[in-house]
Amino acid sequence: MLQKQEMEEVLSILLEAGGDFGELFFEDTRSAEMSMIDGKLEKVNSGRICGIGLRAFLDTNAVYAYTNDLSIENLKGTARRIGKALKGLPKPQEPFILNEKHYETKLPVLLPFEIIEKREKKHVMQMANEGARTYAPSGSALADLIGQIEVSYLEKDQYVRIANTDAMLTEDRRRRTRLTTRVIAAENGQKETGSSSPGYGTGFEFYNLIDPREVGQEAARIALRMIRADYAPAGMMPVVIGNGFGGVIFHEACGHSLEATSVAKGASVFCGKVGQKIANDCVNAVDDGTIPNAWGTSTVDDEGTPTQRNQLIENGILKGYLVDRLNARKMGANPTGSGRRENYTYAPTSRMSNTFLMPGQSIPEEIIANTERGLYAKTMGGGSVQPTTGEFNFAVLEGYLIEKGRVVKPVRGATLIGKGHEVLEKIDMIGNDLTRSQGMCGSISGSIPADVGQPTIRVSELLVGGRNA
Amino acid sequence: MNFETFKNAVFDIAAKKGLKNYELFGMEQREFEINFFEGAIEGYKDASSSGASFKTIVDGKAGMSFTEVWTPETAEKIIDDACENSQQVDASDPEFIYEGNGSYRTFPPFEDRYVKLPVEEKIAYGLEMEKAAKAHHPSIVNIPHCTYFDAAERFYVSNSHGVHLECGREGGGGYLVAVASDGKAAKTGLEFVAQESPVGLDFVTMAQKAAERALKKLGAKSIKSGKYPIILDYNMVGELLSLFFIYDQRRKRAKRVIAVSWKATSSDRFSRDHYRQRTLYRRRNLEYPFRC
Repeated sequence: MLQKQEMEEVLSILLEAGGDFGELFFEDTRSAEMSMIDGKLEKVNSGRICGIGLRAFLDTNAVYAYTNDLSIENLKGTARRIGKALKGLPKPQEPFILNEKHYETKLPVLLPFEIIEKREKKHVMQMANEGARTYAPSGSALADLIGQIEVSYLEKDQYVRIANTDAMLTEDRRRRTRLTTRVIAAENGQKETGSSSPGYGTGFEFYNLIDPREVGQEAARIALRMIRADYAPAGMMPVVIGNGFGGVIFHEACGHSLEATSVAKGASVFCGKVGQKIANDCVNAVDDGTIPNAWGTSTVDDEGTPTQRNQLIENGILKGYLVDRLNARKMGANPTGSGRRENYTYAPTSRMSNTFLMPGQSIPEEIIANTERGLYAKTMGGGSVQPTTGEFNFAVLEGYLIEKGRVVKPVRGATLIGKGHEVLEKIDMIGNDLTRSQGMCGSISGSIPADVGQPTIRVSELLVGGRNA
Repeated sequence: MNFETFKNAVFDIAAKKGLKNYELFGMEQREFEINFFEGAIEGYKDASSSGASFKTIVDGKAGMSFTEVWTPETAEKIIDDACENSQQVDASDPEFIYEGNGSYRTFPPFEDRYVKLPVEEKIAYGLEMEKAAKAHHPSIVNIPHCTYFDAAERFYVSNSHGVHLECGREGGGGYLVAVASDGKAAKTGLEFVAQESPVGLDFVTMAQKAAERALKKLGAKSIKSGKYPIILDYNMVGELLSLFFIYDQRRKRAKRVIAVSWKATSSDRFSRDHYRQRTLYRRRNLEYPFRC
């Protein structure tokens, strides 16, 4: 690991070479992945990545380099090379001293991964597999429909040490684990998939907090419920979106447009709208990187700024953006603890952490009861979004038709199509059942863990793609 | 420690531990990228990295591990981890270390053609493409992404059955996103260009195509939901096919169009297994439940 004095020397070179700000991001990460198909462990892989990212700014221009040759000679040479690329005026630097800052961890761990034997981790996967396999009673017609069960286990132990020319030196250790189960049901040549993927920022004690069997059962429940469903109707209609992973729509269609990465370039539909009404009065949204042990939490972000709770929307009014150091310069704003990256091979930029809509007053049943006809999108699948325009489309993994205020039957093959900012204005009911779910979010600084969440909500009108007009 | 030294350390330890079937895959990468915004350099990346993955077969079961730290200690660690991992595997599919057969076609080594390009020339390419997109039409109002990139990789594979191969490839290009607006709606267009040699790279045409894509979308109106015949152009077919890959960035997709040069250091054929190891070494996420 790079010593403090070595970091001070390399940072000085970044400034000497022409930058007005320099930063080092050292990372040493150990991870393990295991994958099981139909109860048989197919693959186990584990290892370590270790390297350092060097970054320098001159005004709003940035240069970045990474290497895993950690020799001080290489780091000094790299610092000189990228510092020159800024084309600033070389200037002699006084040696400066880094001040170490320690923060109380927001990701405390009781059972570190390294003290748990791999056979225990395998046992957790077997329980998830068993939960899925036995969800439908043995010998029943439904049991025969389960085609394949895939279970994967992930653990990651990331240590980072961050220093910059504001004399800051800090460190963080992020341990995360996740259990994913995917069940494929098949009948008459048709296939439907159900999945469940809980994750947490803890050690192995996570598997004392959840029942892995229930993870498998949930995946099987969705697949079996959908395999015999009729196809969804198409057209404009009210859509009730279920809690938890339903928040992926807000994350994708609105959250990304609130990241300074797109705002600073004027490439967001929310540019210049702080203080303006962008959503219905009932909408409140936050991004909170401080939630203890949450999937998207860290003690400091990947620029060394302590994470914080950022109010994005309050009573329909846009309150602020998610801002990293570089874009803070461009926007004349303060960093919000939102500079994140997958690992040292990426320069950080503004990203979400744990992003969710706040709960409202309605109970979920009341929302359904107040919907004459529409779609209940209980569980969302994947989708895509165009951040510049806010246009999105998302698949509904588990959907139901609502008629006369009642859920009448499951429907499959539905997609939700719309624009993020328009949806915000059309949210007219918000439930009191906020939950969060876990995902991996991909953007220009790589794939990072992020929580999405919301209570049950109703969008008064949304275009549903389906087969039955 | 370079790959050859690390390989020797790994093989010595593996032999002492009594392993009979094992393979080491190594990789060295270089990456260069410049991002432009409004006529200035917005981002600049100049990077290198290396790593290795190890695979062993014990009692017919394969175990794998990887590291980016090449030291005598990690040489032993990846062996121990791979052996431990193999003990957990249940899979009944036969695993093997490829012995190779036949001869290998030898290509001339790549020439670091992009490395030799002066940085000033690369900057000029980027500025040129941004300018070309903006000048294409007054309705082009923003160029949020404009990037020049090049990259090179060298990888090695050695195993207990006498395979010792190395291979390299390089490539580069650029991509650009243009935003067109008619005052009512904004639409985007993306285009990229990538090839093995910098000779003949046409950034201007690429930028104009991106602008044209954005312009064509202006004025588009929603159509009634229903069933329609759909004609897919070749780009769309490519997009659909790309969904089968994990890559989530067009830059990476573009980088797959790169030159390959081989240098066979034994008479064995490069096996598909090595490619699998290669992805294992860099793969850091099991899945992408949602993507942007």
